[in-house]
This record gives sequence, structure tokens and C-alpha cells, in this order.
Amino acid sequence: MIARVTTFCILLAAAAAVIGFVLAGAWQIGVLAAGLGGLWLVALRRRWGAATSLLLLGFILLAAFGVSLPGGALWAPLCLVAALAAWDLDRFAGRLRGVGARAVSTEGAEAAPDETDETDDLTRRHLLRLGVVSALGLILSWAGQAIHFKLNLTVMLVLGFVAILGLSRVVRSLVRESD
Amino acid sequence: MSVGRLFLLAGVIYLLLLLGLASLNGALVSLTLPLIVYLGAALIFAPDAPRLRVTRTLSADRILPGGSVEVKLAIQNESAQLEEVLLEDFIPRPLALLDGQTSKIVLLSPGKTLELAYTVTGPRGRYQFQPIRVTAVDHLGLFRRQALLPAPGGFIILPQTPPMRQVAIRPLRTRASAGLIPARIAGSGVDFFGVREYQYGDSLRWVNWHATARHPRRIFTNEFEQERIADVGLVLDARQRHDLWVGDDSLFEHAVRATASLADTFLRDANRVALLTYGAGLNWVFPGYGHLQRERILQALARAQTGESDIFETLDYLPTRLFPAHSQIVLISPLCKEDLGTLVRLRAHGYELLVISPDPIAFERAGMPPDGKHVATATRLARLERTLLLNRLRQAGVQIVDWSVDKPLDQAVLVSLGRVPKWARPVR
Repeated sequence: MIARVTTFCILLAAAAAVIGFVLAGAWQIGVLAAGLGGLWLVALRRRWGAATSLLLLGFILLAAFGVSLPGGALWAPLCLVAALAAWDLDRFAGRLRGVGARAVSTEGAEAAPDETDETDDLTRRHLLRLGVVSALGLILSWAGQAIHFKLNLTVMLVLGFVAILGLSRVVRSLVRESD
Repeated sequence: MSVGRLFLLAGVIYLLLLLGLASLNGALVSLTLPLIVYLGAALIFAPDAPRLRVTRTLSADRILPGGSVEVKLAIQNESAQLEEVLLEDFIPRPLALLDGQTSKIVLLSPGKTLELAYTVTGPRGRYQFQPIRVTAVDHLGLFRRQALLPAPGGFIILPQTPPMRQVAIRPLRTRASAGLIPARIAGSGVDFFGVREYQYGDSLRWVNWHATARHPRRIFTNEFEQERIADVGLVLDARQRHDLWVGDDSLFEHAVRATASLADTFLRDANRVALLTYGAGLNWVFPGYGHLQRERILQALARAQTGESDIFETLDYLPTRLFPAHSQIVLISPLCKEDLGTLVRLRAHGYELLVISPDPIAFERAGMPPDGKHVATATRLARLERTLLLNRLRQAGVQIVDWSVDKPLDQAVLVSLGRVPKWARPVR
């Protein structure tokens, strides 16, 4: 199930970027997005775990580039969120694979019945959490694209500084508390 | 791994924020929102430190080679719900996993007990399990807490004890109880010992009529050799320099199996047996009788490992005082020429010495190409050297069993020490 959802997320991210760039007239970047999507699918099949982070970065850069293009406010957040979900699911599948082939149970053929139940339950809960987080992030991002208000430079710099400082504190606390 | 992911996300968020601020582009800043929500969710649902109670049960605490042990771990969650917890048990080397899983990734509700079961097998040895590692992560895998939980347990894989018939030994001194070792003392027994003048009370069945016929007015009677139990000290040579490997096969393993067989045989014949492992150090099993002593010796042999030590590089420091005077010492060693002096000295001190010597030349030769010219010459030279050493030991009164390990020890002992019937002797 994880493999199917991951594939769907990769296709969604790539399709959003390709359609967005082609409609905006930047078909060369659309081809690049399609290539990145194809590469990610290959990486998924071949289990190139380390490549997925680079591919996520690639899609984020595409989204950042495309967000200012016509229609970009709609598809760029979708592309970013889908790529983030694909990256997360790939890591999750990797963690499951790490405990032995029989526990992976993405195909369900090799797993014992109780193991399948446990893994399926875990997968269901993971997908639910990821779905909620992705949907919330997407809605907020779309809302952020839609809401416009003018700020002078000083306020914006102060807000940016506060955002970076706050984020730094969050990251530091996460690193400190995580073993 | 999770810290790396955290830095990746944080880096991307910083980048987008800085780009957005620098280009005064709000759309770029709003792109960071899904990433911030993702980070925030990880922070909110971060797991607490896992508090788990682990109980390990083993299906056996001692097995024979080729057997298997089923390991069961019952893990009870005594903390809040752990959304995603990875439980990893580590199998001591060189045990091999036969069935089941040593790690599992599950969701653990409060109070829930999870069972992890697997089966292992392996070579001779003593194995102790390490604590299990518990890694709790949030569903998004960003926040991680790890703990090592003690789950003590262990078992022993005893060495093989190939069956052996009686080993013919004749120590100078035996113990008082009746046994199977000829005691060099006249008394009740089965083997003829000598002839003496008849005394009142002697059985008429044992009157030696031939001797009596030659001496008028005197009657002679046969005497028999008493059979008693003896003190046997087994010395296993565990010096690293004597351990040879051919593929996965070790000469020391053969020596260990031989020692186990000898201990089993001597104890079966009711003797008092002790074991000294001479290698990196001295591992001593005090003399004893019976099944309990057999178990002690087998457990000591299960733990036996080769090792190096400057002190015990030669047999000069063999602590002979551990063995009763004039008792039987059985040394299991491939031997080297430096050992000659010590063994001759032992013999001179009155110990009856039997050396079971696994043949290192035949063992190593078996793993070499058969058609090597230099190999053949080297083998011949090494063989000459060994034959010379063994002959000098024989001349000193040491009993030698030159054992090619591809043949059963029992057969080698029978050929070297046993009385071979006339019909079974080789035709020359």
C-alpha cells in the first residue's frame, strides 16, 4: 500500500509541476520536472534511499521557481506538499524494511497474519497523520497565496527575523530532546 | 537519521524564507507553511521516553551442537502510547538466526504486551544476550528517543562428545575405590598378576597346580591385579600458535571434542577427572566424579577459546601441583619441539603421561593442493620433524596417540594403546 501511495504522490508532484510550467509557457522546465519525477520513480523501485532527499530538494526548488508564474500559486504548493509526502513515505517504507523483509508487507505475500495486521495498522495511522498534516499545510499555503497585505520593509524584516529565530529555537529543542 | 531530516527541512524553510524576504515575494514565504506544519506536527506528537518492561525466556539453557534455542521476548509498554517503536534484539556472534525476527516495528498502546520470538543455532560456546534497543519515533519519523533495556539471558552450546571405548591407562598411583584401572597391586581382579604361596583362606579355585607340582610340600596360588579408579588430569592445549584453520575447520575444535570424549570416558569408568585449559590463561576445573563433573567439564570446554600469552607460550608453566603425585595426565595438544623438555620432566616426576596429539601436518595438508612439489617436500620435512619429536617422547616413556583428525579418535586410541587381536594386526 505504501509503495502505491508513494507512487501516486510522486506522479502528483511531477504532474502538477509539468502542467504548471507547460501552461506558463516554460515547457523546458516542465520536461525537467517530468525527468525528476521519472528519476524518483526509478529511485523508488531501486531503493536509492539517499537520492530521495535530493529529489525532494529538486521539487521544492521547482515549486519555488514556479510559484511566481501565472497559476503557480495553485500548483506550486500542491507540488511541494506531494513531494514532501512522497519523501516521508519513502523514509517510512525504509524504516519498515529495516526490520526484515517479512515485516515490510507492502505486497502482503510473505508476512505472517499478525505481522500484517500490526504493519497495516501502523501504515494506516501513518497515512492518516500524513494526510492531515499535508492537507493542513496545503490549505494554509493556498490561503497564504490568496491573502495579500502590504507591509513596510522594517516590519517585514522584523517578522522575518522573528520567524527565523523562532524556527531556530524549535529546531534546536528538537535536536536536543531527540536522542 | 532523523536529525539529518530535521536539518534538511529546517534548511529548506530558512532558504525559502530568506529568498522570500530578499525578493519581497510573499508567495515564496507561504510555500514554507506546509513544511512548518510538518515540523510542528512532529514536535507536538513527539514520543515520551519509552518505559518498557522486557522479559526474556529461552527454551533451553544448554544444548548440543546442531540443536536450536527458541528465544521469546515479552515487551510490555508502561508508558504512554508509542506511535512507532522499533524493537531490536541483538544475537550474540556467531549465532545464526534460524527462524523468526529479531526486530520489529510496531505501535504500542499503554499496557500492551508484544512478543518477539525467534530461533537461533550456532557452534560450541557460551552466549549472553545484550540489552534490547528500543527506538520510539513519531509517525513522521523526525523525533526519536532511544533506550537500552536490560533483558538478561544466556545459554551454552556444549561440545560434541563422540563415543569412545575404554582408554587403557596405567597410572602409578590409583585411588582406594574399585574401578577399571589396573592398580599394580595384587588382589581381587581378573588379570593375572603373579604367584605366591598359598595362605589359609585362599580359594582352591586359584591354586596354581603347575607351580605346586614343581615344589613338593608347598602350594602356590595365583594372584590377580586389583582394578581401581584413578586420578586423571586432562590438559587441553589452547595456545593460539597451535590452532590451525583450514576453511571453517579448526584443529582446536577437534582437540576440544577429543577432550570432551576423554572426560566422558574416564568419568563413565568412575575415575576422578580434572581439566586444565592452558592458553591465554589457566582455566581449572577441580577434580570430581560423575555426571555433575561431566557437566562442569563440558561447560568449561564450551567456553574454551584459544589465546596468546607471553607466560604460557611454552608448557614450562604447566602447574603440575594441581595434579596428585603419580597420577595420570592426559595432554591434548598438537605439540611442538619446545614442549619436549617439559613433558620429559613431567614423566621424570612420576606422572603417567598420555599425549593425544591431533596431527597438524595432516590437517593442514588436507587443505592444500595435492600436486604441489614444494608442498610435498615441506610436508615430508615437517613429518620427519614430528616423527622425531614423537619418538623422543616415546623413548621418555610417554604414551603417544598420533591422531589424524579425519579419523575417529576412538580408532586412533585403539590402534595406539589397545591390545589389537592377532587376527586384526596388519600383515607385514
